[in-house]
Amino acid sequence: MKVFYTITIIAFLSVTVLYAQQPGVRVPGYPGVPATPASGFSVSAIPVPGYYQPVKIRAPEGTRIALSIDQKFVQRQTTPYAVGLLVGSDYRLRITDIPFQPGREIFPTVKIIARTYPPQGLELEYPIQIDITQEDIELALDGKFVTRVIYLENPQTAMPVRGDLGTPISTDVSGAVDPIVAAATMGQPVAIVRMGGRIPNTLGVTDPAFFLGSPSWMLFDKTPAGRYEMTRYQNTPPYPASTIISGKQIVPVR
Amino acid sequence: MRHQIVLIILTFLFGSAVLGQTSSLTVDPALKEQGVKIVAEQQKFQEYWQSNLNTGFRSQTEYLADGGDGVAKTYIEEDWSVRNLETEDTVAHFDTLDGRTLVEPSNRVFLYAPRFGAVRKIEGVNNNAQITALSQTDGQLVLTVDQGKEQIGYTAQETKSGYARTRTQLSGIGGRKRSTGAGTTQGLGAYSNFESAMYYSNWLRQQAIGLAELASLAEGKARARAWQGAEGIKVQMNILAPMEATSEEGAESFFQIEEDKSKTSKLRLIKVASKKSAQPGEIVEFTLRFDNLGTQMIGNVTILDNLTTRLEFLPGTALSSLKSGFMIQSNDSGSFTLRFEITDPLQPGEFGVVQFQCRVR
Repeated sequence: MKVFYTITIIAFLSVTVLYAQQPGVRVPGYPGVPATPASGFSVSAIPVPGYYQPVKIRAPEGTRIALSIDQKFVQRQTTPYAVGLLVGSDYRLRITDIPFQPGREIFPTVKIIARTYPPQGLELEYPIQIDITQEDIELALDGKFVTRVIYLENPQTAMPVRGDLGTPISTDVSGAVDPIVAAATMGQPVAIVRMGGRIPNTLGVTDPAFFLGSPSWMLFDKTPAGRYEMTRYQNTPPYPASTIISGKQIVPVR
Repeated sequence: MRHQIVLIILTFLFGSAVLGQTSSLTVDPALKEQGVKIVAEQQKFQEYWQSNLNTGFRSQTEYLADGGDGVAKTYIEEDWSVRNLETEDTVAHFDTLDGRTLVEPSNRVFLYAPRFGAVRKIEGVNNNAQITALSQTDGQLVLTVDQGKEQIGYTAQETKSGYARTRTQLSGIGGRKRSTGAGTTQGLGAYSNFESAMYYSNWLRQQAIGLAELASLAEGKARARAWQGAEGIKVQMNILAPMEATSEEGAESFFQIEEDKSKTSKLRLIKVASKKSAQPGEIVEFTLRFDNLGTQMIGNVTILDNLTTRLEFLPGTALSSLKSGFMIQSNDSGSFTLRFEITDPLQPGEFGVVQFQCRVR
């Protein structure tokens, strides 16, 4: 009987290991280096199971942003967009209602590669801030491929400029420079945004790869009272997530 | 046993369902609805990341640190100039009645104020199209290849064996050893003459050592031993007799300074911030309290705060509870160094407070 329990545990653990080693959780070209939260160069994203990193996505005034679930975009929120994203997962965004570009839309991808460690209770007050500018959007609409690597600035090497909300710190690099390496010299890379890539199939056929699997995410709505209401969005499971097996029948947990 | 094996397999599938949710099993729609309800119940654990997953870890890149004394300790020169005052340092220096100038650092203050930046890269297809244009490479490419093929003869000339033989002569080695020897040149002849060089080359060519070669080898070994640097040094050691030299330098007297422990000079410097966290643009007030904890009066109390880059001093916000002078000076990190000079001496047990405000960049 002990052997039976041992094998059962090993079987479950093996699933866990396989899950942790699924493709897509590391940045291509930067293997092997664990994501350290402290300062230092590391770009591979080790997923933090169950942790939704608060992220605030800011786009030009008036734009609307949506994330996907079940291979379709579910909501269009006004900017800024406060969401929780899993570390290591790729997300497809949809940005519409772009100023001066009526009827046009772009579909950037966002990947969180490291989490932050705010004091307890301040997680939502200090999210990772991703700024998508009007210029970024227009470059993407013009056929360019725009990559933004968001980094957590090292305070000891910070630039002596004001980093107020209206003036995000941004640096352009030329085509020969890897933006991730450049960001690592200034701090800890935490997110990668890519714009100007694919657009969805317009023939009505859903392309699962376009939505990158629609990983689960969490929406943070700030109430007038200043509290946050959290709603988690995740794909509908193909069968009950929590079940026990009795004989040959699948019985849900009561 | 069969039942157990089936259960193991199903456990594996169950794990896949929970973690990966990638199974393609088809189930009753009613069960599927039930599963959705279960998932909804699981959402009650949404706040787990607020409590269970908060590790209490403090990331250096997310906090602004100010205060203390850095790696290089601050000290005061005789002309009152301050040395090694690094960015983020906060220290006070004061004079004691016995003529010393002491430096006392404050505690470090941590302010959670992460700031995010972005590196942008723009790539376009048009640039690549220009690089791969064929019109410029066609004509030149043919000519270059033809010239390259004709130049193979030059490579063969460079591999003449004559050069290699010259370089392997041992006379060069003998010359180098002579320079490190202790005087005579007797033993060096064997290494520097051409016969010795021929001996080695002969042995290398034929892969065999004859009687003549053995004799020459023995002679060479003996000379090599004689010319080892270690043997020469032994002779010199005896002559130098270092034991006598060290005895001459022995210290004959000691000086001891006895301090009256009932008369101490001690200053405590405490730094606090009005907030534990701040967004860029917010204003934070810093308060420095200094206490004379010694038993003697201290004078010329001066407080120095070398602000970190992301703290911008707000002019007109500096306050002091005691009569003092105040100066600011730009520092290397793009911020300011604040200097409070307390005018009057500080009696034992007396304390003072200075304040100033900064905007978080």
